[in-house]
Amino acid sequence: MAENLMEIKDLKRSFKLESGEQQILKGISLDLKRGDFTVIMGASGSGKSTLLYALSGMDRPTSGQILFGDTDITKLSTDEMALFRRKHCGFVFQQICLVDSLSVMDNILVSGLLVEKNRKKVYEKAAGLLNSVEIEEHTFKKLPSQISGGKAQRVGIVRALINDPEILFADEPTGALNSQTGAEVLDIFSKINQDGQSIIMVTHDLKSALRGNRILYLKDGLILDECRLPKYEGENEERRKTLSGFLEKMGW
Amino acid sequence: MKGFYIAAAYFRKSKFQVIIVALMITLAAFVMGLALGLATDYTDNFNRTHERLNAEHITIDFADIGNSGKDALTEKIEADDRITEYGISDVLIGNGSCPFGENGLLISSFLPMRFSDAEKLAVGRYEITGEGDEGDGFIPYIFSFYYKIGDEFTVSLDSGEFSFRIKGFYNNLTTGTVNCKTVVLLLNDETFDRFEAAGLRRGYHIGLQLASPGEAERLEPDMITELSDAAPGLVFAQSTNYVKLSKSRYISEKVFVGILFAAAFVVLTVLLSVIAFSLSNYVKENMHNFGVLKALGYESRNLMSPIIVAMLSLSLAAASVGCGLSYLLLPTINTILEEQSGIPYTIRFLLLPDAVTVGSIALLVFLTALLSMIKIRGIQPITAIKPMRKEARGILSLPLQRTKLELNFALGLKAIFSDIKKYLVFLLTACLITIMLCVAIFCSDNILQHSERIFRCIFGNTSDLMVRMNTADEDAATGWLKEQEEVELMFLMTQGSVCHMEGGKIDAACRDEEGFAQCGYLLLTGSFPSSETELSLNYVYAEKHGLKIGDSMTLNSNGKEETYTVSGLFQDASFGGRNLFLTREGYERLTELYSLSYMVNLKEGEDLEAFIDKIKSELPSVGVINYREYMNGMSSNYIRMLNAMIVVIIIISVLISVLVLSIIVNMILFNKRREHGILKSLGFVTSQIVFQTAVSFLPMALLGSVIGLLISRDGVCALFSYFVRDIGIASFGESVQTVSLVLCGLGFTLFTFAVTCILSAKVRKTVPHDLFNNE
Repeated sequence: MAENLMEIKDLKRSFKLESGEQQILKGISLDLKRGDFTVIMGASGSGKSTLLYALSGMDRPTSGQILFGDTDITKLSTDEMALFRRKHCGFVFQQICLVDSLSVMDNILVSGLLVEKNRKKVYEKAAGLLNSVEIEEHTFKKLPSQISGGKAQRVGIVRALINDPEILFADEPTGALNSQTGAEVLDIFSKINQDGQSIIMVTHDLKSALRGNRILYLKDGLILDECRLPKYEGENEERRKTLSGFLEKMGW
Repeated sequence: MKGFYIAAAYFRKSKFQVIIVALMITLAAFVMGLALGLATDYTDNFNRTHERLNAEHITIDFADIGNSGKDALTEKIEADDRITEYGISDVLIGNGSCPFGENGLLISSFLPMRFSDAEKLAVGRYEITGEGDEGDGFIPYIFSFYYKIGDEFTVSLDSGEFSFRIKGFYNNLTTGTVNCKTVVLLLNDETFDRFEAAGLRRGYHIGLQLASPGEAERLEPDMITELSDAAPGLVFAQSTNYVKLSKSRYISEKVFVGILFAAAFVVLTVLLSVIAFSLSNYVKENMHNFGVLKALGYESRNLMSPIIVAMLSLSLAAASVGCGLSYLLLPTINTILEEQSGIPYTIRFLLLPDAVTVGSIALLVFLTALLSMIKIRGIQPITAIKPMRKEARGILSLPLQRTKLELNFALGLKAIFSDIKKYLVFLLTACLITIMLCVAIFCSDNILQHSERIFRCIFGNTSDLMVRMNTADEDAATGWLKEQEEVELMFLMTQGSVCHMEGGKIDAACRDEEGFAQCGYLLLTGSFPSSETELSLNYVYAEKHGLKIGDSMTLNSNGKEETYTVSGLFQDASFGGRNLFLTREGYERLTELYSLSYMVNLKEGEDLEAFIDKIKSELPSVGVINYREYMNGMSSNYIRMLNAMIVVIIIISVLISVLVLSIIVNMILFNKRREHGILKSLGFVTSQIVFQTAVSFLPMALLGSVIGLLISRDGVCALFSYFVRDIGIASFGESVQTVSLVLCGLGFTLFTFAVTCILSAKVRKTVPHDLFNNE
């Protein structure tokens, strides 16, 4: 039995709009296991991104608990939440979100140096990670605008991994990429998950979802159902059929 | 209508910047309007008052020891076709002192005159500015800042102490202030008779109006000589002229206006650079939108003109408000300046200076806006809608793996290179603000904290006492003084008026060897006179008359002429640049010394008042004046003015700094909201981002301060000297102290850090998930 990574109890999130209060998450409860590649799926407006932000400590839920070990992160102050993200989380964004004015290497160091003060150590680790995702050394000094989207997203993944996070959150990481570079990025996700990295990813893409071993389906702010798959070891028809069947059942 | 939408979009998107720009325009108009108003109307007040009071061009006071001069004077004046109108008043004449200023003393010639006689005067009229029900006499308006109606006014004259109750105050151009050297006391008959009975000499106060007023300075000595010759019993006492008074009554106003103009220049320069930067940034940020509008068929002028017209309208409105607000401060400034000029000024609406202020600011804003937005002409629809690429910045990008700096410090410094223009605007501001602050420090250092420096400039020494004696008593009095253990040193310093044959009346002073050794006036070139044929000359007078070392000057006193060689040039502010020094022997070649003044310095810690009492009891025939009190009295209003100036400079500096920092920090936070969101998602806390933002300003604050301080180090001294050049000071005080400069630079840098920390604190509102909403 895998160790619990996060325990979510009756999580609610609502937003005040001009038209009144809109409840996005309506009481989600679930356990997330260490080493899982959890995929959150659902239609637009189902609350999957809102759930991801709440779990990663980027947004504060209206009520409920998110227990990370003994810590309820919903009770943390803004600065404590930042420290939580810094220490335990990595985040990969759909829009990549590298700092435009920093070079590729600096984008990674800016995160790495927050935790580890030894510059040389962080630099060597960043260089190693960049090499592992096939970013050549001559690219290190370039600005994000000077490299392709695929490369930029790989830099984003390295930045998310630089502090050895316990959980890697990914919000539609292939959403802004073409199919080939998207597949390359997903390969990286699969590889690091096989190495033990816990991943929680939001996607609406079947190919991306196939990489997970636990697929949660959200509808109207609640988890409608979930599907368990074996750990990804390459695409096969059975895996695809199981997931397609599950999604079809969910009305996707 | 489409133009309205473009202008409205600008105001909506840049509302904070527009508010700051409006505030800066208001501040610029406030300072400039004030400066222009004072420079034009305040000075013109002298001419208006001169006309209203039918004032004199030359006044001359004579003591009438023969008791038969008035008819002869009248006859002589009426025969002179250079004189158009005149008035002769019977007065009493005495030299002495009265309490003046804050714990100060005024040394002057005092002329008690019957109020009933003054009322009849057609030339040099007296205008009552305040009057009580009871009292014995009127004193000049300038005294109203230190005395109230009903107070006892006591004046110590050569023949004793005289007192009367103040009935009111008067305004008169030639006898009403400390610069006139003559204070008329308008007394009721009873008090006048009491003064006369107490032994004051009779005399005449003559006011002359000339056919050519501009000739007043040149004609003054001729008139003195010719009128002296008219009656043998007349002894010249004091004189002044229109040209000299029109300058001397507005010395502080000139300095104040100079500082205000300098401040207006700083505010305008910063304002225009902020507008240029803000509009350029707007064009850059909205290049895509402008490109789209061009694609829809808009021409460049359709896009530029609405914003330029909006800026023009904003400048007209804000500048008008600024000019209006300046009237709120005018009463305070007026009080300070009236204390120095002694001429009442009625505050009134000044259309021309205000129109010039509003017009020139609007024109400058219009031109700046036009030049800043001209880039719109170069925007092509196809290039505008392409994403902008940022270029790598090589070594300037400060790679994190190479720097040893703390992460947040390094990120702060890196921010400078990513948008250098914003920081260059602040660099300019820091430089100009530091220069302004250095002016304040210079005033504080040289005048407020070390008043002996300004005293030396104005009075030539910082002695404790002035002892006046008849020549016959000199040996006994000086012998006694030298024997006193309280006395550290004493020297001769006696002044009188002589006439330079080519240049008119000039004040001449003689000193002994010790007097020249102790002389605080700065010798600019050459030496003080060492023989009876040499003289040293005020450099202002020398420049005006083309005189240099080695030249000859012929002086005249009561008809006797002697020629001297110029041995040196000095600076001195006390005679408006018209004075010279002779040795005692040189002075006596020209005229006999009937009375003398010795300056006395006491040893450290000696009781000044006790020593004055000792002199009065031991040497009853000499007059003794507390010179410290005199210097305080003469300088107290200048010091108050300088205090006000320092406050104005500091307020303006703080306002400009805060406004410029507000606009830049706001722009940085807006432009970097995505970056800040990313940093927060990575685990940066608010305080780290605030620190990064604040640190990014430190290098420019420090560099701007250093540049400003290097310019100020000698520049402020030169600038201040320029303002006071007309009154005889070529080199004012000492340069700003290095310690003060360093503290100023560090203080400004810390202030910048504190303000940017406060301004950037709103980054706490940036939450990571906003980042996704903005995508």
